[in-house]
Amino acid sequence: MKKIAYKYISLLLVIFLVACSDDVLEKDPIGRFASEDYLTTEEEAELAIIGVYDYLSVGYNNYGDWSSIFFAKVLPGDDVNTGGGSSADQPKLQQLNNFTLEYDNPAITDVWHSFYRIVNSSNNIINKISEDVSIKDHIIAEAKFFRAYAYFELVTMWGDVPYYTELPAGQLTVELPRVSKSDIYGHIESDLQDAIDELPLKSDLPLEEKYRISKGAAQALLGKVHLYQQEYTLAHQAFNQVITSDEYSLTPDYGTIWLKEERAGVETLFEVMYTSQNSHDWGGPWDGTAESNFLVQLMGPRGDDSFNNLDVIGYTNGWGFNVPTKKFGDLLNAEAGAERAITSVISEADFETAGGEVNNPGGNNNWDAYEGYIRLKYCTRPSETGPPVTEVNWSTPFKLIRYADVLLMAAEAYNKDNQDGSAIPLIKEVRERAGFDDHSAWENLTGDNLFEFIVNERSLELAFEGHRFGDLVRWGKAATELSTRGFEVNKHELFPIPKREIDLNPGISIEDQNPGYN
Amino acid sequence: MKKNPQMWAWDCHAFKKIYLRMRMILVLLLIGASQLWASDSFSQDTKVTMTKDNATVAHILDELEQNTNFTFLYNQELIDSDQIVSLNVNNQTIEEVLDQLFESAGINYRIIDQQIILTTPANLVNATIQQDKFKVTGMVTDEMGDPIPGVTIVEEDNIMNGTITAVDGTYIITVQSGDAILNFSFVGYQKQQIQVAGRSTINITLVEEAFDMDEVVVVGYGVQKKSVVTAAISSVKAEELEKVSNGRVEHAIQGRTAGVAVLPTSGAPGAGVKIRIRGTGSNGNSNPLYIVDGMKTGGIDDLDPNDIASMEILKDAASAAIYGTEGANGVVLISTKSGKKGKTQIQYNFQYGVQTLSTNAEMMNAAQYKTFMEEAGETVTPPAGENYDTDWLDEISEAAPMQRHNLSFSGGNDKSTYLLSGSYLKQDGAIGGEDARFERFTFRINTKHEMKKWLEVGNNLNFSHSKRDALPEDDEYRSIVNSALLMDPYTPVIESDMSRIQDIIDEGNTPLQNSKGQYYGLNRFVTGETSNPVAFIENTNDTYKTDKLLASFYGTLKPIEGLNITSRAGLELTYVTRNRWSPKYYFSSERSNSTNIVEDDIDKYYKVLWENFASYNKKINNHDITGLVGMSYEEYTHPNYYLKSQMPKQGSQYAYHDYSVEKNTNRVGGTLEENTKVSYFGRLSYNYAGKYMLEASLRRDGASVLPSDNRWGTFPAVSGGWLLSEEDFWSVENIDYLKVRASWGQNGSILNVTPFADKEFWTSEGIMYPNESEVLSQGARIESPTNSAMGWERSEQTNIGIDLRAFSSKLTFSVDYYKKITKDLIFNPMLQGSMGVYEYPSDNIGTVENQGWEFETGYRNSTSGGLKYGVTLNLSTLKNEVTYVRNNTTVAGANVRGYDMTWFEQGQPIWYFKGYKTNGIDEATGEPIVVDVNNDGEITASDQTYLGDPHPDLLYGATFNLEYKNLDFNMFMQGMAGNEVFMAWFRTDRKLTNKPKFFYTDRWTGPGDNASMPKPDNESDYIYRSDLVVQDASYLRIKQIQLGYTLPKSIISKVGLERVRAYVSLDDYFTFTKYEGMDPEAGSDEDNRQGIDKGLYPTTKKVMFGLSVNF
Repeated sequence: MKKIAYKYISLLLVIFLVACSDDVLEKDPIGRFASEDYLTTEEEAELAIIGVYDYLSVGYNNYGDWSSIFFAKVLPGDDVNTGGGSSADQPKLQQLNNFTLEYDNPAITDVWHSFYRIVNSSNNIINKISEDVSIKDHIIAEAKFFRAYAYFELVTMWGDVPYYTELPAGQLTVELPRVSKSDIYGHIESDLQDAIDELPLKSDLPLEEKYRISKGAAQALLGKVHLYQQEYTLAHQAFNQVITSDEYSLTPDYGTIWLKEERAGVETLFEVMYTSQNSHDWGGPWDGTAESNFLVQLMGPRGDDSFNNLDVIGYTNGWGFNVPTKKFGDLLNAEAGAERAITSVISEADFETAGGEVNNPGGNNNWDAYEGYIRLKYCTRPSETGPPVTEVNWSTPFKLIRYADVLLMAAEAYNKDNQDGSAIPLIKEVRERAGFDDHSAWENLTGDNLFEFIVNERSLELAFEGHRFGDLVRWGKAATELSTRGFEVNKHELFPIPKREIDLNPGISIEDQNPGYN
Repeated sequence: MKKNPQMWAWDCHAFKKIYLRMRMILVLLLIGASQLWASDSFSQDTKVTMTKDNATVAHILDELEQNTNFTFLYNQELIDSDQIVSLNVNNQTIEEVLDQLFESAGINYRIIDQQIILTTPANLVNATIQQDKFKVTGMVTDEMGDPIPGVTIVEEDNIMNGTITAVDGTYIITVQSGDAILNFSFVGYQKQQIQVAGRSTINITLVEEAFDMDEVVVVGYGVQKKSVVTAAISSVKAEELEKVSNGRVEHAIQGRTAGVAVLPTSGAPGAGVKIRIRGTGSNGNSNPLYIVDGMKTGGIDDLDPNDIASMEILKDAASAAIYGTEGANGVVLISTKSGKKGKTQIQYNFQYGVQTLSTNAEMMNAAQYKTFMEEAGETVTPPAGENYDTDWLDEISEAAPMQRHNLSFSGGNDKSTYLLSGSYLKQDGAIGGEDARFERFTFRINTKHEMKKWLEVGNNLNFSHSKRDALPEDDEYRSIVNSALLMDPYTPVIESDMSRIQDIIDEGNTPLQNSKGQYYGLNRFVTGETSNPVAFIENTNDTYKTDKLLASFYGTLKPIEGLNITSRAGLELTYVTRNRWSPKYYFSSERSNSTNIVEDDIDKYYKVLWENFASYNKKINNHDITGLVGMSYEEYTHPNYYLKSQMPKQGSQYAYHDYSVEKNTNRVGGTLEENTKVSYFGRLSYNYAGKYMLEASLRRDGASVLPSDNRWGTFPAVSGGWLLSEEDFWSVENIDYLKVRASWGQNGSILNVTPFADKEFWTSEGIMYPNESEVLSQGARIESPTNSAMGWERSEQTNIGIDLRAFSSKLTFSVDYYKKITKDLIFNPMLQGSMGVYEYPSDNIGTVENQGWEFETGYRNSTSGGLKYGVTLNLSTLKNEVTYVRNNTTVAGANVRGYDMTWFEQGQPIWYFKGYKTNGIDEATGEPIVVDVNNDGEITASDQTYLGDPHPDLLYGATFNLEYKNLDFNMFMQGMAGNEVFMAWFRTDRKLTNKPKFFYTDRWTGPGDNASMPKPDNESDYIYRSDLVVQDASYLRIKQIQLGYTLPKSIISKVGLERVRAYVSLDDYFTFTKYEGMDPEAGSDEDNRQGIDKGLYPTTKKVMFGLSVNF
């Protein structure tokens, strides 16, 4: 009996030894959707395009450790100093401002990556969306806008960059050599033209979706793309379509442009949205994926006893980055007009008169970035944030293209195209909103004189918004305005190709680096 | 005659020897080896049926040996085995058989376990010798004073004259004269030669042989006699483990064997430990595979060291290959203790100790700080009336107690054995005191039952519960140690300037108070996140509670002689709950908290392993063949749940989720990880006469985490050995044992795989975007590219070794050379930014080579005066190099302050440090002279180069043991050489953060100064990302100096105790190193950040007292 029993058991075991099939090794992924049957419905297409918008907000918020696109655009300008806790705070950001950045600068590395994430996610939609999706054309148009936008920023910041519309599947290293700027511009223009053809007017966007990319945004970006290539006729043609569409106007009150109520407002063409309603606490997320704008906290006037009683002017303390230069503080106070000046900066004297206290040097900071002005644009207004931890729930949006910018770019294009007559009324519109009714001093300017006026007006209107450096470079004025800040001609017009890209992309070697950076 | 031509040769015949001592049996039982070894034929249940007419005694003994598991030992010169006898027994016990057999033969016998010693009555011995010679009597005992029966005593010049000790250890021998020399020998004990020198009474204490040639070692799915092992295996014994003061088993291995590096991730109580066997083979997790009683487990931190019988470390591919998967980084096999048949034992171990901070780190004091900062261009004006000079490292540390108890009960009868044990460990932190406490309870039940002649069942079960209060560390921004290193000395621990406190309160914020209501000192100079570390010790609430069950059950069928079929099911169930919350506080705008949030992480890890294997052993003459085939199925699931909510009120009693009305902040999260593995394996072992050994194994593994096309991997291994000392031609007198062995094999690893590399997905996790009304929409993206080519990481290792024993095994020596090539390393490398992906899939990124020499040697002896002494030394060299990187790129690893600091690069050690190399300090300017590596005339980021690596060139350990009568002394040291540490806790973005004292004392002070450190500078990357902050972290640590006393048996036996030993010990007490950071053993949780010191909790020094009692 015994013998039989154990023989059977032995037999069973032996059977099991070979009985395990391959099926047990097949596992389903958790919470993810297989690509083969995705992007086949309207809902999925909507999700996919929101994924691209999200990349934009992540890139602008900060990609990780405060490497925001916004900082990369604003800090090289002469309108701001980096600031922070001291001149050593966030070296990667300080280096953008004093032109000591090297090709391993983490901020540059991250911003580069941010734009390509927009490129790649847009490509995925364009390449993979099913024919059956009814809103396919609209979604593709939005994706093309984003792709064009990302490539445009890439070529203006880095010059020739890798260009692709599809990556080979299943491959982790792809040879992506630098492509000439002019070729890329061609692709950008064609993408934008496709987008313009399909995108709805802003007025046709449903309520609660006015933040989405409209025809006007694509037209404005196309105009800007031409302007940066000095194709002035094409530029003002594109801008003119925006202007004549009557879809946009200037927000009557300049000081409210950055506030909640003007989100997707009349002046907005292209904007990055954030929310104060997602109830973040100090626990994060700190990697830039928050839906609130962490950057605003960085850009509030420094606390720790440096600036006290900010509540007297309606603000609260932040961490002191993005500090106005005296050059711009003085300029705005002298020429911007009261409305624009007081909502853009406040001088130390005015602040103290209002009951504020400045403690510099002193407090906990030896703060050399401070030159006598506190910036109020993109500043820490308590009404713009939410509980439970107000420091990390800022809703302030970044206005990437607003109507005043469009008007001034159009004016510039007309001026350069010798159509000063068409430029003047556009400038007037901008200045009138700023409170200037008397245009006699400048309305008869022409040619270069009018151009210089436009240059100045852009400073007054768009200070601290991240346009200054790009403008100076394309105007050829960077050397004069920035050389005292460390700018070197034929080097600092462009950022270096990030070290990580050179290390990992077999299509780019150190020899391909931008001049001056290896 | 044929079997034992000379009594002398008994203990030289390694392969014919049997297990004389309970110790040996114990080893077998412990390892669960009985599943494979039929080792328990005891006299009572061995029944013999035999009929022999007129056969020689020798012939009958031979037959009995063949038909039972007994072995006969006798001196042919004393026992007349040629005499003719008859035997007729039917199903009788061995005693009955022997009684009948020896009735007339004048032979006495004694059964010890499975071995039967034949002796002649003393008077018979004497009768064969001339009567007028010198008579010697005496007693032979072991070190414990217990008599040893069966010891062979032979006269040196007359090997025909000898005897064997009786049951009570006594002997009588008559020798030719008072000048004779006697040789005492017994298996497992060192031989002794004694001059009679006219004495008529000679009592002898035999000393256990340091190295038992018949010791068995645990190998994958079985055991092997050490003498026939062909692989590179190191063992750590229970005795060594018992002495450890740290409650973690891993620490016990440190320095004990060659080729094994133990890298604590931190000195904090309960913190993790990493083991690296033969270098860092993988770029990510390179942990070895842990097998506890056959069960694969994720970690061994839940085991009480007292419960462990032995640990085997399988270092080469041949020994690990049977584990195929995950064997690539070596295998640690642990066997826990079990009961012994017929012996009931109660054991209690107690340890109490005090730990104190042990570090070389010294920071600038107030005066030095002021001078340094002012020379660096900063203004340091302490507030009027204040003259604080806080030593923050001193403030955060304290003398912290630790205690450990272990109580075990074991025993068994012929059919069953059991062991029950429980332990308790409580350890406070030398930093953080009870706020860094680790407490652990363990409970174990091991049993084994012989249900039937053909069926054995058993179980091993360990339950542990632990609680750990964790303090933040290994972080350059907010850790406790880091803050203590960075905080300026002008800041007081307790605030005296109440106006500062009032300012914070006026702003509507909450200054932090201690339990006595005092406010913590606020930063005088340092800005940013760095804040009073003392405040955060008391106010960090971050508790991990872990419940872990590791259980396995097995049954072994023995249908025919030599064949064992085992089925074993095991379960590893781990629950980890982490609860954390922070009080409200305000130190600076960057270090504040205005809301009480509670967060819980709940992780359940569930691993089932089912293994079935069969082994068959057959001996034909001198051929000994063992075959093994088996399969294994593993299922792993790990759900995680995350909960977060606001607390209704501050305090740990409110750190739950039901009680707040504020629900907007509520978050839930959760993921699930699951995978399966299937493996088939086989092994064939062969040895001829115990002289020539050959073994081959093959394992085939399938893993669900790999792309379906590359899911299966096959891992072969072969090894061979030659026991030269068994050859007839071997004539080197003093070398008792010499074996050469060689092995080659392959192993796989999938430890670092992110599953589904070949599949493309859209994911919506964390993707949201608000509209103009701040309402969020969900988004989706493809976040990772695919990699269908992804497959097994495979290591290939060649090993050559020699084992040697000399001078009656007093001296042992072994040397191994290995070369281990790990190909297709799995890592999720960062991809080029231009690909625009968010996550990186797993890839096979390159090849790493580790090679080295390993030496282990030991010497153990005793003097006639009873002093026993022993020394063991081990030393290993290590050379680690990345020999190939896919696409000839480089891969960045750890990041410090935004910069990639460790790299995976061809021609360099894995994850070496890269930064600026300096060539002294410019005497004129005080600036570091940076080496222009690429010779382009300027210093740029491309001049960054190799600065060091965390891998030691040399690892070594040494133990010294002395025993005299009841006293024992043990010293153990361990060290590394050639490893570097990168001091990475600096904050160049916070200029006023404190620096180590050498930044001040060694600084350049003016033109012409030939200084080793530059002029004070708080920011320069040429200092803080250069070799100026990379230091040689070679160290020698005296791990233990222990003095023990065993109470005399005569005293304790009166109170019913068997053994009592008390000891005092200094553990980790002395460390010799040039490294000026917290601890040269700078570890990290992150595998690519080894040697990057972000301000770690150092290993503490301990003064210990211990007591061990056996009832």
